[in-house]
Amino acid sequence: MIMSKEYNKYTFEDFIVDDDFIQWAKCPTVETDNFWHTFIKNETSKSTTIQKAKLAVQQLAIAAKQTAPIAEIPVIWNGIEEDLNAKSELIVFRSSLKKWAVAASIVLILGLGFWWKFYVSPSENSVYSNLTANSPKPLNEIINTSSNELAVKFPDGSTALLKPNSRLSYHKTFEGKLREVYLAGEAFFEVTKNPKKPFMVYANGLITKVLGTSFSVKAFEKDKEVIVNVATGKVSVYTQNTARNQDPEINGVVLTPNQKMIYGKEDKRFIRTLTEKPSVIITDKELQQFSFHDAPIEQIFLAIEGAYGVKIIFDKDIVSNCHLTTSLTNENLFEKLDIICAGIEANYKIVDAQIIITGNGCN
Amino acid sequence: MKINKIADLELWQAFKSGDREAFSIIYKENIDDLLSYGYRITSDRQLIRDSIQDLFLNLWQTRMNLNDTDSIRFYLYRSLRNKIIGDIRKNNHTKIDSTNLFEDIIGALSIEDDLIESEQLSEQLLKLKRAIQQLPKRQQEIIQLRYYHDFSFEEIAEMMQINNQSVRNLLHRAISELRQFFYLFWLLFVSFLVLYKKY
Repeated sequence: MIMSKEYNKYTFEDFIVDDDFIQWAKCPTVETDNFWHTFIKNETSKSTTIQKAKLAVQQLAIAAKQTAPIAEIPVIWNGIEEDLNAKSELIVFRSSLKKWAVAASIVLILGLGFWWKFYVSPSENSVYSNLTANSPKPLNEIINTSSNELAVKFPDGSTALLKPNSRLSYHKTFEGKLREVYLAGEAFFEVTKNPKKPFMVYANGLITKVLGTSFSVKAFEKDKEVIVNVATGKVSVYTQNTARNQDPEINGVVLTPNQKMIYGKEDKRFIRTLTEKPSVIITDKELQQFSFHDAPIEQIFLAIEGAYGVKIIFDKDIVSNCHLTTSLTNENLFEKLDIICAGIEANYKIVDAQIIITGNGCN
Repeated sequence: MKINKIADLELWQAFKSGDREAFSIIYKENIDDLLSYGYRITSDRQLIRDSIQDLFLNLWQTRMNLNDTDSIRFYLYRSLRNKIIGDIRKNNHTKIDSTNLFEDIIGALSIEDDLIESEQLSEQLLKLKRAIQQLPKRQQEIIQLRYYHDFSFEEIAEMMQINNQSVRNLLHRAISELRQFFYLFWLLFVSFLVLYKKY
């Protein structure tokens, strides 16, 4: 404490703005109490001023706090955590690419043996091992070194079929707001419905978010692509390194049954297309009605759309005269399309998971 | 929080070694007051959110370069101020509308909080709080930093990038402005003492 100040000349305002005085008014110690009590005894004329100033400082200490909405506290923290996860992802992702380049050149020299080892066990600094190492909660890890699929049951009743050479980790109890699973390799998930607690799969820079559905994720670290296949339900897929301050799902892709998404890790591009073997989403009985006699082609397309949950785009005017007699119960989707297109001299292609029909029409 | 307690030092070292739990404790210990400071400077909710988020992310990323004697508290407040002020200067025009918009929301919130607080605080204290809110922004800031957050004048001067004397002058002006409130406090206090002595 600086005792050399000329406190006897201090005004009310002078005391209020004096560091040592504030310190005493807010947190008195034996030493400072002694000092000020002695001072008051010697300078009785200052007694009232000092009492007033002390009271003023104490009131200021309370009144100076700006009220702020405490509801912001968890909101901001969630933002920080999200970004932290995404950032560590981005950094490690870059370094793992670099590592891959190095590994690739070594592969040329050492041959396949080394490559195999690299393939099977994720590199030390991989996306997967970084995410799992940074997890604040204890994780269960399951590694499938066998040549068969391995069934994994999660605490919420959801299941995964883990493909060979794959591993996944998850929080032992699925506590918290999310059901989080980290994957390196390939797995098929069947997720129990719980809209309040989304199921998230983190795989090679990509997040697949589900409320309740079945789908597979293929994300081997050696692959340049991550592939998500949807069997039932809806999932949304987005990258971990989307800019902060915006909902990352906005830049993602929503997948419906029979759609798949290929994510290029290098060009960071999403390609949405149809799965290789789209399955029928209606019952066998409904499928039995897939028999058409001189039916307008539009009607057949509508039936296919309903059966596979896909979208078929065609020019109504061009196909208005096209009629077809066919039964389409045994073929898969692409075979059906081949048959129909052959019948009406048209072609199809798949763009963004939609089937686009082009042709010259029928006379 | 100058790192002077052993517990703090342990927390700080755990944080530096990458302990996310320690990081979240540092957040929890400081966030309430940081929000309070942020809302003193601006009422743009999104801006405060983004700024606080940024500064904690920076803290995490630069944790290796920090040493044990660094005051996290000073670092946090100074960074928060720089971010908010920097953004306000950069986006002067676009921010005006949103500020008004948010002021309405915050205003409503504050009134509610004030009502709750008023049960504990005297009506007089509430008036002082409102009077502080009527002062020029920088005076409000200095008052809060000095009396609530307990920063020294040197620290405040560095934080606000003005010299020590300017801080004192601004504070002097603010205190004179608030003088009538202190006088009323004093009257209340004295009458309380008189009553107390009678019994």
